[in-house]
Amino acid sequence: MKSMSELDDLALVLRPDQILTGAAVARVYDSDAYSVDRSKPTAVVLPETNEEVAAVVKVCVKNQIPITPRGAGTGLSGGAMPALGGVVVSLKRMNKILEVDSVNRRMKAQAGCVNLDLTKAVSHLGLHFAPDPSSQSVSTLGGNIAENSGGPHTLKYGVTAPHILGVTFVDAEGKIYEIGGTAPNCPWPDFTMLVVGSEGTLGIVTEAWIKLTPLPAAVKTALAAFPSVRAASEAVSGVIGAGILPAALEMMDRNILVALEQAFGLKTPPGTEALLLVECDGEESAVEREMTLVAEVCHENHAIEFTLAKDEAERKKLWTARKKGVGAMGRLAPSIVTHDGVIPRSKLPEMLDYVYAVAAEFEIGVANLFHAGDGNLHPCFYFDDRDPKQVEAVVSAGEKIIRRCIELGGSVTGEHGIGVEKTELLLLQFSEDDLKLQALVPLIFGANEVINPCKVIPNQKGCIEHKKRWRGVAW
Amino acid sequence: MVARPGCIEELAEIIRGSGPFGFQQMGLWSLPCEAYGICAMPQGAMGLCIDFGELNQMVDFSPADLIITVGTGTTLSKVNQLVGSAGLCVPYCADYIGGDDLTLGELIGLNLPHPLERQFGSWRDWILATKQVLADGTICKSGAKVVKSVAGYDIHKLFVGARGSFAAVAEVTLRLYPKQEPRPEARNSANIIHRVLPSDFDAMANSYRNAVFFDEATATIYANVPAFFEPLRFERDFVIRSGVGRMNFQLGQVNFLSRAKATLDPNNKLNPGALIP
Repeated sequence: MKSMSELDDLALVLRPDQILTGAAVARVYDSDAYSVDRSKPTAVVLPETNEEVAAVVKVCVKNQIPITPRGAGTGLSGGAMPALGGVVVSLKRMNKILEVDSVNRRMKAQAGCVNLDLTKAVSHLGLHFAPDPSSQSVSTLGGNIAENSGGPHTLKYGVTAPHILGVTFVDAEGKIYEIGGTAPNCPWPDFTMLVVGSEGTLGIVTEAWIKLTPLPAAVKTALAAFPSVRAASEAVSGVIGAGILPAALEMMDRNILVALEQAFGLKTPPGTEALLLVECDGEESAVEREMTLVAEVCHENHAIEFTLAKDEAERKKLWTARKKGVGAMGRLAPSIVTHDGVIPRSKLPEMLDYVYAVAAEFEIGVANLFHAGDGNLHPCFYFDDRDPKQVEAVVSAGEKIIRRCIELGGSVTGEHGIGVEKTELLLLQFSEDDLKLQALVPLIFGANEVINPCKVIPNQKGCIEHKKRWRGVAW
Repeated sequence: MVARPGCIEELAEIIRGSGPFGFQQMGLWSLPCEAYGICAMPQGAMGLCIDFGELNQMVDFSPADLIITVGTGTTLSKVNQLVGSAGLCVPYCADYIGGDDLTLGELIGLNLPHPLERQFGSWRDWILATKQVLADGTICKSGAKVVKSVAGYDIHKLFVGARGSFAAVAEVTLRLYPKQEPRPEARNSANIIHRVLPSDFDAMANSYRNAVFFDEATATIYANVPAFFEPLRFERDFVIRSGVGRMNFQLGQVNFLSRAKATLDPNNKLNPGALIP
């Protein structure tokens, strides 16, 4: 870790109020929302312009100080954890909307803008920013770009990548580039697509041109209660198989429903073991037709109850319950680790049986609320991270589940990213030769060992020996 | 010389043991691809064209998951015939660029705009995973065969529009959509495609006399123009011309394209000159 004296150069490029140091700062910024692994930064900086970000990068490269870019710190795989200490570059002060171009349905905003604020800025024009991770009330555009964030409406609208038209990007040497930003879907290779989802390992995104999507003319949201998780899973396959593409298709199991009832008063009929939240949007007649078909499929799969939200207030209440679901789990235990494996959605019933069996084997609690339509699981293990045995059980159970996802032809992560959490798990999905190709990507961008080290690519030089340190008190 | 590998291992063998060559992804000199510059053998150069026509196997098709994995030598019409029996399709409309007898490799390598783009997106949205041979002969994959994955860098998306310059993509996993009603067949192929920001669409539309198709939804014009025609240019637009090869392929991000080429193909073996003059 670098000492403060080696960070003195930062004072030449930033004002004192833009440089934070001290024990409290180090504690606050030692992890993101994946809190199992922690590592303290030496300093946190708050640049306000592209040029200041570039200047900070140059200082850090010159002094070989590790840099970790950070948005709101809501990431779930340790992408914003300063793995080798050094400087956290927080983009939180770069939170301005720079240009709204409603005619061309695009907007230029700084990376520190909160996701929901982007939509609020254009909703009066009948437009919105479609990616809606559950963290959207706090997570930032830059963080969403770094993680290629998903969310419930990914099923119809896609993850973050197709909504990013171009970025302003500071590379690992402190040079500023404009990438992309032409009329949509240029025919030549689009490097924006590589920057999105790169978890801040290639450089720092400071601004982006984002695509604005028209608000749908009509939206209907329904809750379907099922007597078993298997019945609900089969209804999901049935809906997709019937050629319906709902805007969202989310599943919640019994354990999460207990927390949601306590937190938000979400009532379910007796005998409910799983709940599907289904949303259809688009033209009014199409929405009506789709929702009728969804109801038919749910009833064919033994739904106990199928209820449509009767007004906008009720619809919003349902979504609040869904999006704050993981938070509500704080009622069940002090710590939560949410996994993020993906499977082909036709394998959902057998995979969920497996998740419950693994949780029973390791004697830990598990609740599931996830993007069923995408086959993107979110088994949430709840436990006490002050007990090293429980932490070990949670990590082992998670690995076992991810291993099964890969055996079923899936992926280690659907939307939370690799971060530090899953670098070793990536070896399950990719061969040595596959990783050789992955390792070429940072070279294309001229990335170096200073920019967000120890993330994404497994077994990076100088990272392996730090793993035990990150695990902190628990291990 | 033309090589026609029957499997990815043979493709790797050919690439490992040879010098510069161009890719011919299906048949010899199938016109649209040659015209748009995908088989870009430098004039007079001694080299090898690879015909991907035998790499046309269906590896996996899961209708319930709306996913297919297939060799890139398969034609779009064959893929749509395969998945059509399950009520599904790859919603690319190749009417204005020569029809759906083009292979997936050609279509992905070119990544030309198409009239169903507003509704369904295009190749970058549909490609979930690829298996390819790198310039040094390494066989590797990228992505995952599921509709959503953020595992590793999405380098397979960089192969879209790369005209075979970064890697020889042999297999692709695509997401599928419900089958569409057939569109009326296009009478003419276009030799120029021009896309602008929507605010410039009317001005652009007025500058073309021989449009084959006006696609207001994506602010794109498909037209037939004489060789001497110089299109009126607009801020942040792009133009792709057929018939005059790579010289008229308008480049974006040259800096990064050059770096990517130098990193992925340091000896400039794969389709030299097809992407970066």
